[in-house]
Amino acid sequence: MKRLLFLLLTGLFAQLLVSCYPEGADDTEDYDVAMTTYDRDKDASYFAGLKTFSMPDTIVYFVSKQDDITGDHQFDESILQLIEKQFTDLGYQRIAGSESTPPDFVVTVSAFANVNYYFVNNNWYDYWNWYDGWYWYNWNFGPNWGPYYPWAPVSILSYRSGSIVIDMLDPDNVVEASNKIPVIWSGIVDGVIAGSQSSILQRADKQIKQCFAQSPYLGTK
Amino acid sequence: MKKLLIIAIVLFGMSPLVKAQMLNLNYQISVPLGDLKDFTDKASFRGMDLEYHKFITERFSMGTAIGWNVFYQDKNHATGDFRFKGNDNLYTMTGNQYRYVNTVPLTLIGRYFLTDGTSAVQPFLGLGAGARWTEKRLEIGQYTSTLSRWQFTFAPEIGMLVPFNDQVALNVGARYSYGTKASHGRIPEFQSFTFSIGLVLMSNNKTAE
Repeated sequence: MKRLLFLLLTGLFAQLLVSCYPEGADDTEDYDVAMTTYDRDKDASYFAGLKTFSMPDTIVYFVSKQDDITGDHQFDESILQLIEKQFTDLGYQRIAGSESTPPDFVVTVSAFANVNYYFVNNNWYDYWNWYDGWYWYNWNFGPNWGPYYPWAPVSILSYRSGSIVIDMLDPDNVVEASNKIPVIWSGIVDGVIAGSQSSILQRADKQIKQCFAQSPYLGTK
Repeated sequence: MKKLLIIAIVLFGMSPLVKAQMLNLNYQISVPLGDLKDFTDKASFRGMDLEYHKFITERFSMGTAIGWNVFYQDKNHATGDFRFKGNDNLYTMTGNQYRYVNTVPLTLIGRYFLTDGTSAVQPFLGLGAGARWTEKRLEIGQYTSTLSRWQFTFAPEIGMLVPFNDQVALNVGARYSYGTKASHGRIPEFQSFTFSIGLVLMSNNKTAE
């Protein structure tokens, strides 16, 4: 009888304690993360000093194998428009840019659809060499050029499943010796690619806005 | 868990051979305090401990306890600054945060009973001391941070036994637990109020000691 009681009690506890980590994420949306970081040597007054920017009108898809390309650029337009709006809402002015009027910063938008993939470890130049903007500044853009993240190392970051990376680059202050274009701010939208296209877009939309919302130091004011 | 159960059953099976001892299994509810509350501020309804006490004198018992308490909180949409391993830079991250603290206290407990073994209600005061293994876990999206350390711990308690008969009693108690911070505060100072309710199996020959 006592043993039975003991067993019953133990069974009850087992039911109550099914897991060390109860609850947790249920939906793909629960995995969405907006991450931002910036060059900590800069501050709001630095970002306020920037006025104009230029932005390639394509999202570049970084994939580890050519046949893994899932991006058919169908989201590009709406995502780029959204990002442009975030920057213009902050007071920055998008300009076409030219050699005589180079913008203060360049915004690149990249997409990743793979685990453990990061363009620092790969040939960034091959993906971005088509963009005219690099040639407006007084340095020789070419192979081996790549972004420079002052908060490096960043290679420890493994972008999961699906990520959109928005980088603010400062091509006015490149490090010619090491072929590096400094990145002054990064916004990363990280999530699981699942669900309908409209829901993916909706989630990306929300997280992109969040990237800007959590970066109060950006803006011309 | 199975091993514990076997040990418990064996100990209980042997109980007629050893006098004046108690085996006690409790369900526990814990309310976090201090730094622990800052991390997971919800009360924990997932907790238990297994205790074994032996009377040294008529009023005084020494015992040992092993417990397990799970604190967790779904912070929903939250923003915070985080570092990644091998990188000093701060990343501001917004996402659904799930926070967990699993703690396993291992304590030696001394108890003084205010009445003798014949009372219908037997209140006691106790003090436990020992170590607790605490694991702190944070999940944001697909990113996880887990850290676990041993903490020194002590836990004063009050409680009472309500015997149903010579061999079975109800235990009701409240315990304040304190654990020292570990890993430069990354495992926070542990503080909680824990309420226990459980059954005590006794071999009730205290007077023979």
